[in-house]
Amino acid sequence: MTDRLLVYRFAAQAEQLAAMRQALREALQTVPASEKQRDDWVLAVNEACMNIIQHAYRQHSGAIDLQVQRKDLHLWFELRDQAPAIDTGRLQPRDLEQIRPGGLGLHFIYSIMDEVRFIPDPSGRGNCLVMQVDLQETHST
Amino acid sequence: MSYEVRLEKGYAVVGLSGEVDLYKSPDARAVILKCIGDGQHTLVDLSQVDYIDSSGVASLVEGLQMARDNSLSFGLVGVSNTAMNVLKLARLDKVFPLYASVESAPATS
Repeated sequence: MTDRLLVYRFAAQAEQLAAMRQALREALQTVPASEKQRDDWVLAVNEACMNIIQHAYRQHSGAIDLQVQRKDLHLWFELRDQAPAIDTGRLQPRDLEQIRPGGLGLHFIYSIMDEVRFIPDPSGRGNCLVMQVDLQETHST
Repeated sequence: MSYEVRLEKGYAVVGLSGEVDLYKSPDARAVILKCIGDGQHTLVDLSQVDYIDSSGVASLVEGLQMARDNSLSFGLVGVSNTAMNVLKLARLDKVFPLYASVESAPATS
């Protein structure tokens, strides 16, 4: 059974992130998980949105569509944008042994989520990121 | 996010509160780097921080590096559970000097 927890569209601007996080927190209240786990999911989604704003849209305006679904024992977070397609081959978390500012977002996402997939748009316009969490694993930790 | 700067025990103590995110972290970065640029030993009080993302963490890392380059002390005070969780994810919890309070920070020379 699929339960759609959130459908949220917002402008790809830094000042919109706080409202997105609030909507996401509220949507996640019904999910059986610890407060820390919910905080982690919000962090990961926020980091993904930051990447869209900073590296996909860059200085251009656009929208971000966030959908959150619970499907059986999985939680799906889907982010879509209409920015130029990004080169997913370049999206690699950096080595944390280097103490330097920046580049932590992807590390957070991969650390928190059980599965991360970039789905290219056949038209070459727009990007789709799907992140998945295994709730059974989450609930037992 | 809001901030205040106070002088305590020879440190400039930057107290951040609220959500330190992509929108607000430039303000945090600016005030932290200004304190260090002014030649002050600096502590950042994170006890009132409800949320911090990678951009906020980057501001702290930049402060640490600038302080080291200028032979100044830099540390974090009263790190909230939320902020500590993010520091641990970034594996930076062992990199920053952490103090429970300003009083427990070492005396400045």
